[in-house]
Amino acid sequence: MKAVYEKYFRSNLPHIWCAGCGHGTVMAAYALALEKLGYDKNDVLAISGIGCSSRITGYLDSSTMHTAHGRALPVASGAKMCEPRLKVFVFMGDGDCTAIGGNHFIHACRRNIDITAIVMNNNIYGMTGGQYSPLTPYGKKATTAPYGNIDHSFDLVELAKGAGATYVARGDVSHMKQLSDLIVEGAQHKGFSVIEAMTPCPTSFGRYNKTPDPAQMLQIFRDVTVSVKRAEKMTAEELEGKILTGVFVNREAPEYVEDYQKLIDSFQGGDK
Amino acid sequence: MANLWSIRLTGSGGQGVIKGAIILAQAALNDGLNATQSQVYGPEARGGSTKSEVNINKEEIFYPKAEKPNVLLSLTQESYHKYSQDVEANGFIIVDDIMVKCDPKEKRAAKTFSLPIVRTARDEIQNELCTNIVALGAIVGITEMLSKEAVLEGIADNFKAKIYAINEKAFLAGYRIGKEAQPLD
Amino acid sequence: MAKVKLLQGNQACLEGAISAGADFFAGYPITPSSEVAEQAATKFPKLGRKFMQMEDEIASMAAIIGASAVGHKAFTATSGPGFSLMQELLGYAANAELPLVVVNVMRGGPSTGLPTLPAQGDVQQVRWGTHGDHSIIVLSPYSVTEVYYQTIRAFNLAEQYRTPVILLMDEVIGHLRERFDVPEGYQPEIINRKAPESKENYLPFRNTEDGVPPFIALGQGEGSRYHITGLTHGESGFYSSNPQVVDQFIRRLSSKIEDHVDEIAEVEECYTEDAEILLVAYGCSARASRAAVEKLRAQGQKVGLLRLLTLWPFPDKLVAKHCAGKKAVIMPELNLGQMVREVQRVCPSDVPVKSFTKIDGSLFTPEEIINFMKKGGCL
Repeated sequence: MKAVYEKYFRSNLPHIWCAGCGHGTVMAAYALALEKLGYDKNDVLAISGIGCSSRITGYLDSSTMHTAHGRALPVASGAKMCEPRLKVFVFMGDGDCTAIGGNHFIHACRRNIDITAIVMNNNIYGMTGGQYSPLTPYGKKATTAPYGNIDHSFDLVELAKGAGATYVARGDVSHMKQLSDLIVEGAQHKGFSVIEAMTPCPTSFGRYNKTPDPAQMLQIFRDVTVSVKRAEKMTAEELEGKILTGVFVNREAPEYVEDYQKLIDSFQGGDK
Repeated sequence: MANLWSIRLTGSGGQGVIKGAIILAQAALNDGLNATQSQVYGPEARGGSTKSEVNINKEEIFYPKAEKPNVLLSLTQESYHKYSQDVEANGFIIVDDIMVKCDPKEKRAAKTFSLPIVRTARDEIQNELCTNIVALGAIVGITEMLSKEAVLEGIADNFKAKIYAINEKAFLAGYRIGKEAQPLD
Repeated sequence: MAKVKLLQGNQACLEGAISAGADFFAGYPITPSSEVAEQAATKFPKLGRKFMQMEDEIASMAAIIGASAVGHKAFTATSGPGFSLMQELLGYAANAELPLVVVNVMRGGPSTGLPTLPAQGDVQQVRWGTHGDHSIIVLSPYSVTEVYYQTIRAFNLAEQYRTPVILLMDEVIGHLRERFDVPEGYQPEIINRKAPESKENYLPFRNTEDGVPPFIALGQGEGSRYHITGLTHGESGFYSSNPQVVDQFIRRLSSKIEDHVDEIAEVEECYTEDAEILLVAYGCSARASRAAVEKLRAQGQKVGLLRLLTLWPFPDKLVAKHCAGKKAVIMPELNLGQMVREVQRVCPSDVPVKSFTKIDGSLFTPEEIINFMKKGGCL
């Protein structure tokens, strides 16, 4: 029996993701979100960059674009600007979004263009073999940090907040329904929405950091994540080492494409 | 085939030299001639040296720069030193009398006119921003290269209506100075 | 009679883009191209078209790629340093066969170089700057009026061949103001990317007789739920490393343009018929060359000019034909001799081809070109 969300997948495509990878769960959460949103598949444009995460667009049954490393957001911005009626989703990996695409990311946040960005954060460059990314935690090992990472990592939520995104949320694949709901809310939000989706990479992250077992990684996600609502009732001591999930920013601000349309409309009926 | 006029306007950034050149080129078109306008400028929006060149010809103009200028406007000492020797023998050198000191020992083949361009803009027009337009008036007054009407039309083409009047006044003041001007010995 | 307008090269470019039906511009400010962006920012919203200033030139290319994928005519304008940043996605546009126009107003390089001064040092970069095999179309206007017509042609060729097209200007032409000689109410022929006969079982990268796949824009209903990737792909658009698929695809990316060089490549002949000495030039160098030729003709010298309006695909046959039988061929360029290699490649071996180069940030004077010919014993 086919799951309800499978109608959002293309058929006959083998995927490249490793056993234990969380990306398939993110894809399912996204498909469930589409089902809930009730979007016509013909109106959805999904755009990705490069890396394991980016392959998601190959599997989704809508208009899809697999762009260049880090460039998904400006490609999506041009498409959204020209065809505002399209529902534009951008899928990025952690290195894709915050290293090579970091500049595009902060500017998309600042511009507040109506795009929903889903950052599949597995804390590592998976496809190229486990090199550390800007979201690899301090001290963790990677093939380019064999003695432990001395780079300090970004907090993606704080980065998005600081750059001006008007919807910022974090979920993880051990809480699939929550993740899916965040995608729904992000898509319905008018403006630039960022949803960080924590997803395990047992092959390239776990293997070098003593958590090679996929089930063990998922268990860690369950153990360390705390919803922002629950966190309100917890002490600083209790929150030590925890990662907060849920909605961090949800505010109204003028949306870029609408503002530009207002400018166009202001010229209707003569030059000013 | 040779250009009727090849004009090099020089000064420092902010003096409106390029704008003056654009008006001159448009004025030439208004008079039914061909014209090109080009410029060389530094990174500074204000200060720094500016050079703009206008060629005027009855025929099509292929080379867009001033190969052998027959008119030089110089609003800075530096540009006078740099360019005054390039001017054709039967040409005209027009300098501002407070910005440029012409050393009588350094004779130039072309006729040199030292005129109160900046002073006229500042004192008579009461707006130093009009320096470039006073200079245009002086150039046209001395050389008669284009009709007064064509240049005034060029000014109208390039300024908003509310500042046309002051620029018209500036041009006519410059034109009068040019008409009355005598070259240095 | 309509007013005779003085227009700048960069302004004429925007006018051409408007006439061509371009409705999206994304760019990043850079001298000496910024007037194109400023004009787009000013005029586009009044025409219901859109302008975006991006965070850099990479994003600018990305944005026009997105616009093209959803079916819009999009362009950007830049100069050397920005054009270098665009190479990555120029390759993407070639690979994904997305029509778009990149205006490069050349200045002195390498690196930051001479921001306000002219050069022609990007003429090989436009062809080979992005990695991997592909072909590309590059047009080189030499007057303000021609900038207008060539900009329209750039969009038309981009659409016709589903390819990025580069309008390669230089600081002299971009900033030059002169008579804008386009008739009032002029209506150009407009070419749009060809649509498939049927949307059923649409193959976005199907090989057709002319090598150009029919196009359905993303997000446009039936047939549009397909995939675009920068990976090597088969006719369906999905990644393939099948040697046969790869071979066919990469060869088609080149042949769809190279096989049509006769329709794409244009040259202008000036006094070439009886010329004994032939100048070959493009862009601002052709302005100085034409002035030199006029002077020499007035003196009775049999000198002609072959002007390249299209740099790539290089007009092999036309150049070879015009070079044949000449006493000498001379190519002045504001670089250290980049396009002259192409002339040497196609010129009959008994005709000497001489390169005249200048890289000091100024345009040749006609006298310099004449003196070069004299010194070389051509006159």
